[in-house]
Amino acid sequence: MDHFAPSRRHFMGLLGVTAAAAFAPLRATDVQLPFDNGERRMVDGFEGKGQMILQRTRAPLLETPFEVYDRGLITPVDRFYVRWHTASTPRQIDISTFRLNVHGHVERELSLTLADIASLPAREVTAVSQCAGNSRGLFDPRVPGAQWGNGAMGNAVWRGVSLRQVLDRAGLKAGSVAIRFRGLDAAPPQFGKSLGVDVARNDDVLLATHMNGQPLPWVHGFPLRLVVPGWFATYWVKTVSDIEVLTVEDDNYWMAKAYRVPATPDGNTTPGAPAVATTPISTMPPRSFVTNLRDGDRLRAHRLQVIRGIAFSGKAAVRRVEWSNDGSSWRRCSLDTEGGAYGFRRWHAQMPVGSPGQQRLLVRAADAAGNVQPLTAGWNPGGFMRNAVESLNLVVT
Amino acid sequence: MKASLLALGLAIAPITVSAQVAEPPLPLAGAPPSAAVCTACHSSEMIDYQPRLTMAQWRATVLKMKAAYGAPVADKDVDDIAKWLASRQVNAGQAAAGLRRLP
Repeated sequence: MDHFAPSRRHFMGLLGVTAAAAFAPLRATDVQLPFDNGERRMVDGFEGKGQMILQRTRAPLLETPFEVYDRGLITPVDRFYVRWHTASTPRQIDISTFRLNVHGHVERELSLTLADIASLPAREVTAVSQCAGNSRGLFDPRVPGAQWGNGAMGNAVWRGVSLRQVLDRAGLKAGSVAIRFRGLDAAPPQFGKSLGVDVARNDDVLLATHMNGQPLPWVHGFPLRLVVPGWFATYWVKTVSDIEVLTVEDDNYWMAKAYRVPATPDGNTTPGAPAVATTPISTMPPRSFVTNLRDGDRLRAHRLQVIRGIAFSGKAAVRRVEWSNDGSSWRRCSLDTEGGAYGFRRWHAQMPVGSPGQQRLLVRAADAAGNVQPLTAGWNPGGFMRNAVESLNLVVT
Repeated sequence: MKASLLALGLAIAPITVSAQVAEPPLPLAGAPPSAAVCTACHSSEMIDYQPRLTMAQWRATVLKMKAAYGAPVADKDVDDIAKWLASRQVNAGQAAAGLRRLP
């Protein structure tokens, strides 16, 4: 594999460019997320990113500024949110020695090079990646954890190979129950997530090498990350290097203790109520957002105002989006066809602006499986899976 | 093999040098010596950006860091660290209350 190593000249060339960036002045301004203690720094140039909301320097937590979602269906790589758990972020990976090992309850153990993986049929899926704790800062009562606004989500075109191609080459033995994925971030408790066999064998579950046509940057899991369309991003394991087929449910920390929600129909419970049985978080309930107006914006009275935004659901394709001024009578928005079942969908409508005063704007999405955003926000102790109807208070003048 | 790697765009590992953000230090004034361990694995924003938490929530957080993430905190130090985290947050909360809220 030696002859595949980057040439020293090329290496130095790249280093020259990025070393210059390292000494470029970093612009930092303050932003206020809409909750108590929500002041954050906006940084530009950190970890190869454009302007991002700095939630944590180490291990990096970077939030997408909300205006990015109004600019297009696809979230640019350099504005895509970043979430790492532990300080053992794998920044340097030797692609000549990197292997994806497949073992456990299989007919044939595999140890695949990146070239082996590249030789499998390519597949592309457009899908939303959303942190399980997106919008945690808006929980009431508040809960500890990363205090995200609504920007821990993004929509990208992911390219790679179907996980199924790899699983079929290994051959799952009868009695396989779950498939566990681990990456190179090895600090204890070592990160690992599992999917049931049926979920893992869906052709749209990818071992992705690219997002939006670019090789994955390290912050997004270079050289290989799992993409599980419809599922919260905790399952989208970065720097995947180990796949283990299990004959029992996974009892590792990240499945058995972390990222669990109440085993109630909507995954929520009542603050202060006795602890209830929990289950691993899984697919994303529908959400929708207005992207061209923000809370507190001023509108001219007695005009028609264009409203537009995004909607998505991880449980089934978005079927309709509606807007309302009062939360009881709803009007249908036009829903763009572009975007696919797993990605953001754009919607738009014309909203009559009333007389001077306050005007509320609410928006809600429903999917083909009948899931509809609730008007009031649910609550769970982990601050996961928020999907209540969003509302803006607009000022009419 | 080379061609397929090139096709994937993976022949060159990404260079990870990038502009760095100065990590805000955790002011340790009034802290028990054992609290220095808090920023061994994460920068101090993880502490400073929390909502106002009760003493019980801070204590549970310290215990979680110890039990699940292997933070080397002695049992006898758990309460001292939790008390300090809760006490410094009163000041942070007062500062935050004076901030302008953006839409």
